[in-house]
Amino acid sequence: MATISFEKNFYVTAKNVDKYAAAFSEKMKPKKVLASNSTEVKSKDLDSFLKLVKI
Amino acid sequence: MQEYEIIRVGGLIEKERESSYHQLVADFSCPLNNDLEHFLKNTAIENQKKNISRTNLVYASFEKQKVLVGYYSVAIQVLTLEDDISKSIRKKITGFTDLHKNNVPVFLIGQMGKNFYNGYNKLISGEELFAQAIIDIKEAQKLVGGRVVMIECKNDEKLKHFYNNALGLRQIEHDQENDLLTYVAKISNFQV
Repeated sequence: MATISFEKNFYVTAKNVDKYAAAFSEKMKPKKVLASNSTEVKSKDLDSFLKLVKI
Repeated sequence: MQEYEIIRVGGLIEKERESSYHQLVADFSCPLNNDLEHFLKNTAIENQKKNISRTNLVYASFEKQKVLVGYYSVAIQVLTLEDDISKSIRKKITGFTDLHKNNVPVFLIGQMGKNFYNGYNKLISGEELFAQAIIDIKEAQKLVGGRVVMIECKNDEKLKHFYNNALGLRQIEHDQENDLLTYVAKISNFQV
């Protein structure tokens, strides 16, 4: 899906400014993204979680 | 509805479980994008140690076991405005007309992908994976601020439709050399 670019630098220049301006001008209703329930595996639970992982 | 569990790679490093990490990601497979696989297996842990990015493994339950269904890596980046950008546009992007406000903090989803090994990609949708990244970004935003989320992807019709039509991000750049597209959106555009 997404890829690369941690080392890249990003600039707003005369060449791309119209696209940036359009993206930031849009008055859009916030998009509700489908988020399923999720939990973070805490450090203290890591060992027991790893036992359940298919490796 | 499927429930997911998130393993922070930083947590594995803190617990000195680097060898476990390599086992966890060994079967990750993304035939559509080899960069995703290469990053997870070769770069993510070094980036984590150097505080360049944060990688998170997403697990789901499958046949009484936990299986890796995808991952995402997020980093802080800076969007720099060149000096000749007009005040009105500057305000739209930075929130300020001040010419000295040239840098906008950006959350970059640099890597995000599903695990196609054994069909585990079917246990999570792209939108659910993106939502997990947005949940983290919104938490980080509460602590440190930030206005913008940015993502890069391959120039592919399905991905373009996903980011543009389904999620409402806007394409800004096309890196011709690598055939990559850059998308941006205000973080406030998303609700989770």
